[in-house]
Amino acid sequence: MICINNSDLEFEKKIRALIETDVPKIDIKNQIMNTVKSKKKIKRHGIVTPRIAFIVALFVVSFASLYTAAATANLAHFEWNNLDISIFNKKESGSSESSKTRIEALLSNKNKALKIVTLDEAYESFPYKIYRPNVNKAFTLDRSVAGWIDTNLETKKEALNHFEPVIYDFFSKNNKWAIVIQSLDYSIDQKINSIYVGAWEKVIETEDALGLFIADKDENRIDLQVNKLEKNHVVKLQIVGTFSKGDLINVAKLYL
Amino acid sequence: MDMDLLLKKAQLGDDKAFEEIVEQFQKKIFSYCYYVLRNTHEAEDITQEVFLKVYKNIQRCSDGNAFNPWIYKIASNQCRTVLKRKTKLQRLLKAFTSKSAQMSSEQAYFEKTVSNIEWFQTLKVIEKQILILRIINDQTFEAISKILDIKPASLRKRYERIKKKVEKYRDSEGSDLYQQLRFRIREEN
Repeated sequence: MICINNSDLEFEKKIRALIETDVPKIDIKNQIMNTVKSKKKIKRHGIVTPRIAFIVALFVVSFASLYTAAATANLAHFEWNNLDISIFNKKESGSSESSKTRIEALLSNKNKALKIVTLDEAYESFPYKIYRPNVNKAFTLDRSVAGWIDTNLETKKEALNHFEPVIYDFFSKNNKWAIVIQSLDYSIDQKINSIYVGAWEKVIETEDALGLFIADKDENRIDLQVNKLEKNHVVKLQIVGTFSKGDLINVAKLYL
Repeated sequence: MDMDLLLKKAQLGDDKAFEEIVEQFQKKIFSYCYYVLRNTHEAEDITQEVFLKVYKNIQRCSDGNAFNPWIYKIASNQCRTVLKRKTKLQRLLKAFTSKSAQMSSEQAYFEKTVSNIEWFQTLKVIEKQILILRIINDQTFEAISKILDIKPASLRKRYERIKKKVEKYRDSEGSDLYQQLRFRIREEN
């Protein structure tokens, strides 16, 4: 790292006063975008000679099987209810610690769980509409914990700023478990963006909800975005656990 | 919007994201080119070329933090190419035409402002680039080091040399850098 000293700052201030001049104002955004779009068109309608067609056909045949295998890990970019969803194809790192262990540790850590509240208190004090699951005999709702939690795993001194209103619902079925983490997604932009890294698959899509599924090493996971309240708010339900994909989807649907 | 997100969206082919990148950077890149090339039309052309190169090679940029030095590096290389071409052409023209005939009204204006500071003209192109990036474009030394492909330690040494060179400089009338600054402020008032 290069340090800047006072003499640098003094020097720079003087030089700025000497060399600074009025720079003409330009706006070449449209010109650039027109060129970009025309280049795209040319690319799309490129001339296909028989030779190119043959090479392309060869590639298509050679990679057809590979494509099928990679289909679930495709790059994707789509919109849902003014939400911008981007999925990136990258290898999952996968933590060795289970989400259940991590969440239990989080809730028993006083530095991370600022205040535990009852569900009634949460209804009154949380800045979003709380979703509760419909009853389904197939799954047991063991317990629910609501509170102002710092979900950030890092132990920072300034972590006080990161306490969020979160609700955890713990489900079980035949020695398998699932936890639904309900929180609010904040975004400063008018358009909400979400980036998903990995082979996410769209499993729920209604006018009010969008659910993306991913199978990790030991756990499955669904990220469910529900009911856009305002332009820049959305309630997020993360469902993680050892439940099968089908069961996880059914748990997600209990909230819709 | 966050640069990392914009970049990733642009890499996925989202034109609106790329347009926002252009919006965010066009003035900065143009002003850099303008100071280096001292010509509006050339600076405008190069700025366009820079963004087209960015568009073509956007997959090469690894993340949002790397974007700023990367785009300036492209701009710096483009400007250097133009300057080399210009120097060759000027050498050739010098043999046939007078200086006044070569100078456009804009160049003349520039001569009156930036370039009448003789010390600025005594600097090498790379030295001018360092000063412009640091002082006009507010780039950090780390970023300049990446943009101009100079090792941080060498950049620091070069910067110290530029400082000494400029501070020692006296024009033909014997006024030093700070006297020139005072003259300029007086003229402007």
